[in-house]
Amino acid sequence: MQPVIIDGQVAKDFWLSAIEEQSPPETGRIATLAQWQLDTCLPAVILQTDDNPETLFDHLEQLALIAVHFPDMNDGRGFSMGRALREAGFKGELRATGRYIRDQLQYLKRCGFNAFSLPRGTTPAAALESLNEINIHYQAAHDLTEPLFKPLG
Amino acid sequence: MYRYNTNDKQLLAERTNQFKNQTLRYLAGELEEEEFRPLRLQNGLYIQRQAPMLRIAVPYGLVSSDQLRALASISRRYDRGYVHVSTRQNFQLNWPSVESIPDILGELARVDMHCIQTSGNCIRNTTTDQFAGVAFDEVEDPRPYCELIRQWSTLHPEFAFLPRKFKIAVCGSVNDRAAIYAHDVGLALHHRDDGQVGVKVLVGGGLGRTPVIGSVLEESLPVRHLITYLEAVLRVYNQLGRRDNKYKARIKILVRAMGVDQFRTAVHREWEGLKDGPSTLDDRALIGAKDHFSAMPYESIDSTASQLALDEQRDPIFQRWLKNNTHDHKQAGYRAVTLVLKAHGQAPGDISADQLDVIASLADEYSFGELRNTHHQNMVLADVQERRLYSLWRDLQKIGLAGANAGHLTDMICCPGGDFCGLANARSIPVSQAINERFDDIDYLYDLGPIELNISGCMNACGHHHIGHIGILGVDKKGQEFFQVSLGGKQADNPSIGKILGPSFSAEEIPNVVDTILATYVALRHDDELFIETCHRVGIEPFKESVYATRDH
Ligand code: SF4
Repeated sequence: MQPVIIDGQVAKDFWLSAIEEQSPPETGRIATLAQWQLDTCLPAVILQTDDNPETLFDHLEQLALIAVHFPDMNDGRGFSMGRALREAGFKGELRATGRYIRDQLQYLKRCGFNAFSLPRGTTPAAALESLNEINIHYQAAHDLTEPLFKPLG
Repeated sequence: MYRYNTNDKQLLAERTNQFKNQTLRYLAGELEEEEFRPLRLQNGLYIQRQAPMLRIAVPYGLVSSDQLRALASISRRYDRGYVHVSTRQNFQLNWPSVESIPDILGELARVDMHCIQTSGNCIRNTTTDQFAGVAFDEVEDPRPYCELIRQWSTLHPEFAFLPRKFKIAVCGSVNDRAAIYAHDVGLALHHRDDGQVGVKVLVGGGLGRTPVIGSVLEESLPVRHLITYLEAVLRVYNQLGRRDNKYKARIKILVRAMGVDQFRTAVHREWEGLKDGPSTLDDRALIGAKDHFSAMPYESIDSTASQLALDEQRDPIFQRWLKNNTHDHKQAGYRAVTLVLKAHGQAPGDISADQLDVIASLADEYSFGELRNTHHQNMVLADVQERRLYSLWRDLQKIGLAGANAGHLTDMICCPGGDFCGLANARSIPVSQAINERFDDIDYLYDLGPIELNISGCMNACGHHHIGHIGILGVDKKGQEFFQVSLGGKQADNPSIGKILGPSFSAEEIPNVVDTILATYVALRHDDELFIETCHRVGIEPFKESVYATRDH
């Protein structure tokens, strides 16, 4: 089983990915958006970057996990999806999956993702290191409420 | 200018180190070509025709004399002893090796310089008026707002992988010198009736293959909302901008597809959640930003006396330079000075390391140690005392930078074109040089008055050919280099896109074509009518007739 990174630590994956044909999926599986829409009580769902995260807004409290799948490292929509979900009040596990690279992990984290499937060709140690490469941030984001351009005092 | 504090320095050190590791991983084969590509582009590194090109950020065009000296030294040791000023007020090195990039970045960081976001599909370096803070017609100094935008956009976690590049320009004066109508977002500062600073927000302007003049998104946004509003615009663009075709990925295409009203509605929806949030610019933030740009320690000068002293300098060449290359200043007794980087035999915007060193000393001596890069690919000393202009002019003559043609035909904008750029259809630099040589009669240039001639080597329009009074565009015809000529483009004050004259010309024909266009203007102009005014009054037909009638085919 692939390790995942959750809250800055390597962890065992509790969830299995969705199987398209199955409807509704068995316990412990992440539903596709279509499956979830048939049964909005399911606790885990995966969004593609062309899905609209607002579809989930009324159910954020029931969801334990929302995953966003990046089809390509240059598809930056997922970053905004992460922020939108957090700003709408989602408190559960927000997980990035798919084809990003470790150099994007810290951006993902700043956009509200707290869980990551391990990027291709990367060791868990390297991935953990990437999460904290830059320690000063100018702008407010999920991890920082006050931007640096608002000096204290 | 903005001076780095410990936070800025730490961020830059960490970022420099991060990119160094990325480059090393790439060179060691751990990062694939297509994975490294967006990373290196976001750090200003292009791999192109001859060699890599490294684009160095000059935030809104402001640079210190120490930074210039460091740049001169870097260009000598890692490049060929010169740098290039781009139309977005940045510097470019044309010949560094990939292996030397981490070292170059390390040296740049020592003088608080970097290449962050000078390329790639992210928010690029914000540009502004080269006379910001000193312009006579200024309503509000744009630099503090540019600095706030710089900080907000630097390594912004959400907007590093946009559909396409994103360029913001800010103008704070009556006359727009920042081409705000030709940017993804253009911002015009003004004073509102309620006494606050307001921002007119334009969206979806741009050149490239589909030139569009920006549309008004907000007439007057209170400035405290600037950052949250920009965040909303970017978020809408990031989510909805097209990603299937890079020629349709700029925000202008999205705005056109949605219509500006619907786009505004989408922005407002997004903004609802962000408005009045933590990124709102309260007084603390605004005063903090303005503090970095407080007025220079000017002397109070009797300007009548210093004017008289200038008039006494009888040298006609100096008087021309004074008229064309120096500009009215807010502060009595001071003027801003343009150094035109368009010498014969060199590419427009190029400047040698030796010249950079001298300019740095001149900045220390005459202008509080600061310089500006302009979008016309020139440099500016912004705060020179009138009584010292003659002596400055003599110093500039010694390094060949006293050309008195600012704002005239040969003060061209020209992209690097086929000599350097992998995307080019044609070589733009030789065309600029041919024009420069052909029109070196300065009396004739003055008689013609202000004319903007802009040259791009391909549709990407880095040379802004669409908004040149005369625009020249390199095109490819069955593997041969040709040039299309357009007339009547204008960057500000009712901006317009030039109209294409007709079939394209070979490089050799261009000087004659320009000559005929100018002769036609001289024949048709009314008293005191500028070239661009005649173009708009008579339209393109008379020019077309004379150009194609004299063409020997
Ligand atoms: S306009 Fe074309 S040729 Fe010129 S620099 Fe831009 S991409 Fe290159």
